[in-house]
Amino acid sequence: MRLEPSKRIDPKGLKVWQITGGMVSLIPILLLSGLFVVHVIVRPLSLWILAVGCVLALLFVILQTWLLPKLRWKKWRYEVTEHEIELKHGVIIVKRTLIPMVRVQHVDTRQGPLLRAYRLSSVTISTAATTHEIPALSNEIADELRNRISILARVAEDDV
Amino acid sequence: MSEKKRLHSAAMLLSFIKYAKEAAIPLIFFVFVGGGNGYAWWHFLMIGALLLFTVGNGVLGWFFYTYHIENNELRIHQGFIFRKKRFIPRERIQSIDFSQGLIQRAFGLVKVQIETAGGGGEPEVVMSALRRTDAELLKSNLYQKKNEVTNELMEEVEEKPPLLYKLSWKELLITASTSGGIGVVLSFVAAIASQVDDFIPDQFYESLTERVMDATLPFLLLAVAFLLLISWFFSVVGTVLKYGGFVLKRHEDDLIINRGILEKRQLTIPVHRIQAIRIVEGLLRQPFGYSVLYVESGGGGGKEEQFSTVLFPLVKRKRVKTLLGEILPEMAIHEECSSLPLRAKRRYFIRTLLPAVLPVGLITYFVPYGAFSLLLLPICFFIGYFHYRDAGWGIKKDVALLQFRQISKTRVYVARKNIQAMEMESTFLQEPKQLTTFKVSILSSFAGKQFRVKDIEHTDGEDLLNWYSYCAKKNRKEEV
Repeated sequence: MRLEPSKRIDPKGLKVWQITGGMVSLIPILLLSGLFVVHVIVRPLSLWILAVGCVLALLFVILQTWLLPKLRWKKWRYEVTEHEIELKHGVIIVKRTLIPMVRVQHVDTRQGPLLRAYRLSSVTISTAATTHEIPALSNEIADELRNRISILARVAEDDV
Repeated sequence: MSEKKRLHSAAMLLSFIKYAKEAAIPLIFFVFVGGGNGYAWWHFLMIGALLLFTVGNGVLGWFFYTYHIENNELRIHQGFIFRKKRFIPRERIQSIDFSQGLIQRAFGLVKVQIETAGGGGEPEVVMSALRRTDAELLKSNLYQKKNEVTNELMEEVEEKPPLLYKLSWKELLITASTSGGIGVVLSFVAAIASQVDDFIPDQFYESLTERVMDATLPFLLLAVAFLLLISWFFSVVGTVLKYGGFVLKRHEDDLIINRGILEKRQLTIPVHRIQAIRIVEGLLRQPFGYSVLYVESGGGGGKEEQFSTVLFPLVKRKRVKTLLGEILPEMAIHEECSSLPLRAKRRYFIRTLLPAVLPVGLITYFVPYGAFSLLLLPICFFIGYFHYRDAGWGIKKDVALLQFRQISKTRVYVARKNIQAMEMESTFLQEPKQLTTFKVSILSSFAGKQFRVKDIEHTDGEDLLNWYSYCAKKNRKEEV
């Protein structure tokens, strides 16, 4: 049995995801209100349609603002050792990725306005063929991680 | 070689032909459609102007295209209206390939293509016509360390490198006639269908006539069969022209491939740039035990080869190991391959059956005689079975083998040091069954390339990660 990566991402990341989920939820809410506008102004629709619309929108909102972010946060693990980076994440599809330090081409940290508001950054690791992201780490940890990976990647030598 | 040099003057002719080809269709349209009521003087003027423009463009384009090497860079200046300068550092050059079209051969010239890593399908530099000596000089200047090597290469007639593989005529014909893949299968099916035609009872046709389909069906089948036959013929000719005179040789640390009948190409692949080896057994080749060898490398390989290079177009299954062992001993090919657990079988069946069920259902319901499409279901079932049977993975020392079937049975060998990242992916359906999809990323000339085997044992996936992991040994010790 291979040991699982142990580090979690920042708890504030959960909040950011919930907010993003909330913003995405605006779309079905808008659609639903459109349905009601049609019902009131243009012509009355069957109650079934309205009820199904409400249930679907509600489900979507619950999934996006509560369940999915929570599960996603719970499932996210990473670990950076001297020789490699290991990630494990995903709710419906669980992905486990292994990137040796030797293969790392460059590391970036980046943050959007939302992440910045919560003093978070995400770290992006690129190899010659792939890119991987560790989302929502606190600024300090992200910067430290970026610097560490960058140094380790330079030190690591192809000894195979 | 710091003075600026131009291409051979045949480049003008080549550019003229290229533009003339592009202009041909509008020109023909113009002449035949426009000239309905006789040609007026301005017709000729227009055509003349167009010709003059193409010729002028060719001449000026040639005149303003120069190349030289300065500061360890290949510097190209081109264009007279829009001036373009392109500087390529020597170290960034991945490959320099020569090819010869008909015109180049008539003048004893070569077309030089220079590629750097990345940058999509097109080569970064295409010099349409250079004298052979100039091209060799350019190449040896750009491959600084390999001066002597390339010079030796020029006298390939006198010096025979120890390792040399030729594609015989018989092999070439087999390659060509089995290259069409699905297209060929279809042509077989259509040919058989047109034969079966005679055995179908007349009532069938009568009822068809009633359904307004008339006698169009046999006609349609014949037409389709004919079309497929024609296309098959063309694909055979195309393949023969492309792979005719195929020679693969190893020269020190390079693999050199010469191929082509009309257009001759020479490809040089430095061994250390090879990322993986792919062995593909096509549907039609597999029964005869033949396969194609591909190499994945940092540069080279066009769209038609899925951004990899054909190392050898036809090899007997038994010979693969000896051939690779001789020409590429760096890559230790092995036969170690464990197949998938039995419980993965059902998932493979479902994966091929499910997408077919809905369309088949619809066709059966709506199309007359659509129930014949139900025959597709057992076919899908067998495809699923073969996909399951041929999937597998194996590890021996530093080389991993991934085996899977898409249409063709494919084996991919990757050395640990060439794997960029490894990934295990389990969906919520795989998780309870302790299965996982395994994915390996390697460098290729067009972005990265990924190979995967679906539904391997979860613990095997972990073993694979451990094999790849640089500190796996440490981990294991901690556990003990």
